Amino acid sequence: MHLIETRELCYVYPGKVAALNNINFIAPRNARIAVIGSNGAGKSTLFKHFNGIFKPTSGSVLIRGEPITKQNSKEIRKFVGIVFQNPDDQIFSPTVEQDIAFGPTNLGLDSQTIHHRVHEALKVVGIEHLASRVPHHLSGGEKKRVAIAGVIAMEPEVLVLDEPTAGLDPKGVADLNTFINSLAKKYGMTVIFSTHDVGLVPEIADYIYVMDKGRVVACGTVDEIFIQPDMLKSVRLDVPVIPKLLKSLKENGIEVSMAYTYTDAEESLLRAFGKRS
Amino acid sequence: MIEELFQIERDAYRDSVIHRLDARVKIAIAFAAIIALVAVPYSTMVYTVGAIFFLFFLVLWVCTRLSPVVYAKRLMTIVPLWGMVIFFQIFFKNKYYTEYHVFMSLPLGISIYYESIEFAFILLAKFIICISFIILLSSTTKMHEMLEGAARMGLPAEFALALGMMIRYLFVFGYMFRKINETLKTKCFDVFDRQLPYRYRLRQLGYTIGTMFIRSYEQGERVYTSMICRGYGRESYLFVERKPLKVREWAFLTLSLIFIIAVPITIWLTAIRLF
Repeated sequence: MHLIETRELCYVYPGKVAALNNINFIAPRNARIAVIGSNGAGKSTLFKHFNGIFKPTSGSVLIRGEPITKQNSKEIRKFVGIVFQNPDDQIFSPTVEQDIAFGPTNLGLDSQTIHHRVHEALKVVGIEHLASRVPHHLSGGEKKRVAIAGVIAMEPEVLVLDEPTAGLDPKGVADLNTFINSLAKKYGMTVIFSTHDVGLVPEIADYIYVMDKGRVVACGTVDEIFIQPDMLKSVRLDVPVIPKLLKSLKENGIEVSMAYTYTDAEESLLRAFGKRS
Repeated sequence: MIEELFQIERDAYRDSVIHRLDARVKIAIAFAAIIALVAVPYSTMVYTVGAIFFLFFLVLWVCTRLSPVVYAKRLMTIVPLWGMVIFFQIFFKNKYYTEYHVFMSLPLGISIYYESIEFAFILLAKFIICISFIILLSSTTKMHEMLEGAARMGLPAEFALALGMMIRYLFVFGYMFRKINETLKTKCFDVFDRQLPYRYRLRQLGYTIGTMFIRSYEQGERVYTSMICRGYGRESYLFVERKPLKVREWAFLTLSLIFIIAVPITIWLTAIRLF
């Protein structure tokens, strides 16, 4: 049984704008899944189906094998936490602490547990020092962390991040990469995220869905997807710089093995130039 | 007005003994002073009570280490509006006096009465003192602390949640307004630029206001979605942790309340004895 599964999912916005077309999506336990696609591909619309915010026009969404109903919607929203692209949409309380406490209070927890969860979530995202701050005094990266902490405090098993790196500086992106990897490794969570920054994907994803115009045009592991440059170009995306460079070196007669992450590429190049056996 | 909002916030973030007091203490003192002054009967006794209360306010204001200019500016932004309402009292009779003596007769049968002038002055005194305590409260208390204080004092959970969101988005829209203003300046648009046609300026202003409305509507939709995602429902409330007052805060609050209650009672008793 998969944590999240969509079967032939279709969604049409009011005004007959088709946003999703026969989407079959699977999220197993403890996976890191990237949904890549250009603007308007349908990534955010798909995510809003994962916790019942949007109801499918046709097809179905199954969470732990069960469809989303009015009765289980609260439980589903505790199970699947969504972090939206713009943190200002998600941080609506006057202080950071109160905002993070919003989810746990809605779960009907007592104040001691709420306090504990808030401080654990702050610790997980590394912003304990911001607890009593007001949101409009925070930087974009800090706001993003607060938004993530607000969802983490509900202790979801699946964390969905919509364009998590949007508006972050390089350090913020690097920190977020480490954080996403730790969620899967340390806490056994399933992380699903959308992005059109393909360079980021090999570092933090095991599996990729490529979307275009409301359809899933390809899915597979990092190697399987990035071996198809033409397909990626046809959906206004590109192959990350590292595999592109290694491919070019290989075509020019240098014996390098293919790699997708920085560490693997470093290893591959050092070996190719005889610096490592 | 938006810049005023940010200025109030900057003042509230300063440090002084008054700033450090728990919001509940400041709320209680401000409201006690207002209630005590409003409860004083409409007589010249208000001047004495008002003067003592104003001295009390001045002592507190000095302790805040805020400039008197801050107070004067804030008072001046409020007084003109309500000052007009108070000014018009001089033309009307009211229920607090039985006899009226004409001070000046104007055309169209309009008269100004001695008693009405006195009433207007009493009203002005009450108004200025009450507003002064509100200015003191808002200049020394961060908005979220004020809300937490009110929630701890028993403000209904529904109000606290709604007010909390209002505070949050007041600043979000404040920043949005600033950005729109900066964009207009970047494009050399000034609504008071007389070189530009009047109709054009009006239209651009209309577009700007319209954009703000549409953005706030869209923002509202997105915020509601994210609230739903985090389990928002009928039972939702703003989480405010318990926080007992310190001994010195209790002491300050008790002494202040005794003072606020004792002053009007003492003056009232003195006035009765004199008669």
